[in-house]
Amino acid sequence: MASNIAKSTIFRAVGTRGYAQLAPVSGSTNYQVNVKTLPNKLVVVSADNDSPLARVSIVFRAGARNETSENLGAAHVIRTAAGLSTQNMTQFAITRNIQQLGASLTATSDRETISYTLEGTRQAVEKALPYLTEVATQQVFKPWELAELSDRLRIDLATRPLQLRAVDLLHKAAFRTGLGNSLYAPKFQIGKISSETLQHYVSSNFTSARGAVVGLGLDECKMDELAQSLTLDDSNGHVNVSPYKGGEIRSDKGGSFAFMAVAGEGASVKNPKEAMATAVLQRALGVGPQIKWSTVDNGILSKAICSSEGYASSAISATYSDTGLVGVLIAAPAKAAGKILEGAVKALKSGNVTDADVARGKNQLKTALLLHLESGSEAVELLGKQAVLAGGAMSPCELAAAVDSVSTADVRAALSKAGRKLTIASVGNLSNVPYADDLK
Amino acid sequence: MLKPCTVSGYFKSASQVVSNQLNVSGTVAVLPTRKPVQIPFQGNSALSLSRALPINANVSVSSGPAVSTQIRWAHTDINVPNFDDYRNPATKNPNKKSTDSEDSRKNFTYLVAGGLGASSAYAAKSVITQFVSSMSASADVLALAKIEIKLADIPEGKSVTFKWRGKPLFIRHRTPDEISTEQSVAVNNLRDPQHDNERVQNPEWLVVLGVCTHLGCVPIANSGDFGGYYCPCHGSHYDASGRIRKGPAPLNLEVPAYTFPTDDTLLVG
Repeated sequence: MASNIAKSTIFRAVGTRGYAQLAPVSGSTNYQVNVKTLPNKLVVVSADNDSPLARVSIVFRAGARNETSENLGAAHVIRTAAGLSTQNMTQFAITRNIQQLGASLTATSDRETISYTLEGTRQAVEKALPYLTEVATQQVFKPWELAELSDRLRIDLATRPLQLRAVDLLHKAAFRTGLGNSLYAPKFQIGKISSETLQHYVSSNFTSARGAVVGLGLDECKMDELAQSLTLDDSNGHVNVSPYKGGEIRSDKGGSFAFMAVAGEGASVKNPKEAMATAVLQRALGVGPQIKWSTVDNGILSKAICSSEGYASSAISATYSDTGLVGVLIAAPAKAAGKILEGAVKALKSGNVTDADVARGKNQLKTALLLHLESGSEAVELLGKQAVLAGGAMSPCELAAAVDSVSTADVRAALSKAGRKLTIASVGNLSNVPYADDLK
Repeated sequence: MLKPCTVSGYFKSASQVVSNQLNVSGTVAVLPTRKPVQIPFQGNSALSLSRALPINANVSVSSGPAVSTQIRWAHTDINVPNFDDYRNPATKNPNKKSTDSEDSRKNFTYLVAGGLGASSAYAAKSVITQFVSSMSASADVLALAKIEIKLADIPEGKSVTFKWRGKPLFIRHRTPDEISTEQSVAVNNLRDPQHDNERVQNPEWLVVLGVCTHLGCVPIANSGDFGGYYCPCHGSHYDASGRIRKGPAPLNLEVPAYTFPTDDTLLVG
């Protein structure tokens, strides 16, 4: 009890004001991350960064990769259906109460996970926790509410930017099924995914063995209480195995630009050392200008491409539970697209990584990671992904140390692994974009 | 059905220039009506292009209850509210300063307001007068309220009694003796001190109400100790000016309002 009193807001304010340097609005930059696994295999991560804003996230390994051909697009519908009536609360009650408290609730999904995140001031978040647990675990998908979602799904599809479609197609070409599934429901599935299909998807994927609860700015015991109050099945569910296959997809859409994504196999979460090396490789390849308003990028890629056209390139990487991708995404004017793509492929296939590249990559990666962990909303997403995919979470210091331990040899190994078999996906005006087998 | 003889048809395509009933195309399609949505790519410099590219290939998409997806449609068929019909013509021209016409507009407004105010005040006054005058006495009542007396009919030294508004009215044609007597009475000794001049307009004529101020009896003229009036009920003596001189009455006899329209007529009331 005494420890609880010391944690209440007023004492915290006195503590930070009186005995320590005042924490910035975004919270302190270095904080302890506590990880705990409940008997039902639910991972609980809690951290306190002394920020006045708190975030709680409930994450499940239920992303698009778990869809099969029967329920293709279920993840998109579930993401969009966040906030619809649940077992005990109506859509109106959820929206009204959360808005009244001034909190915000979002559902975020990627290929591996779906996370429900509640953000707001500490008091608001504590009061809104019941709505978060309802929305995340007690879905019912009333058919008449689902029918109204169709238009919103269509708008989501229509407003996808081309660079996003390039990344989508890259996954489709590289993995075909599983991780190849799009984050968006295909057009032919809109209105065809029934309430029962979604219920089945939720009951088989939203289980405690596939979930995690992450709190940033909430008490450890509060987080325990929240985690234990969730009523979840503890089955392991089915994992869609999707090894890297490689291939090519072209989607001619016209316009003045070509968006090309080229990537090879990256590292999986299961191999943290390789994953870190791949992340350093991505930064060494170059992720666009790092200095404000500059157009110069000193990465390996821009040196290899060496073009004066108004193009942009960025190395991309993705780390999934069993495999990954690392490569480059290019936006180029249609005329110059061929040359630029050839340069990028050359860099990926036979690029030379120097010690200086690795050092620069490490610095950039560390900066990016630490900035991520300072910003509460990105930190809670990062912690959630680590917790649900790797079963643990690293504090900012541990992450920085892990980045430091990467050697040049590791990065070279990651590049040669990626260059072994490349996947190419291109969208836009493809008149000058070469086919995969024409690239040497 | 895919028949061998039709397969060749799938390797070419033809379009008919003039339609007829003989060559009908095989399949019927219903073209869906689509609402076009254009998402133009905004990058036109190397910097904005590079900012538009995602770094993380594991893209995530967020949505939430309430207002997470916001679509704004631009409408061209909404009438913009127009108040031109109600506006002053002097201020409608956008090329002229409205301050230039301010004085004339104000003058007009003040004139109209002033005119309306004055006429409505006059109307209100006449309406109120009409209502209030309905409460006052009618003409027949007013006619009864006055009495006109011919003075030539009253000889000197005589007091005549008339009926006026239901009360006795004494008109006395005083003799020079009586006048001089009453003029010389010491006012200080009187119970209700009044000089004779205050009680008469013309010293020859005394006009008083014949009601004793004690208990309202009618006094008798030309009797009593002072040669004026005497009340037989309780013995109040009044003098020839109608002043109380002796007895229980507290006040002098009341003098009504009267005028002399001509030399030989008296109008009381």
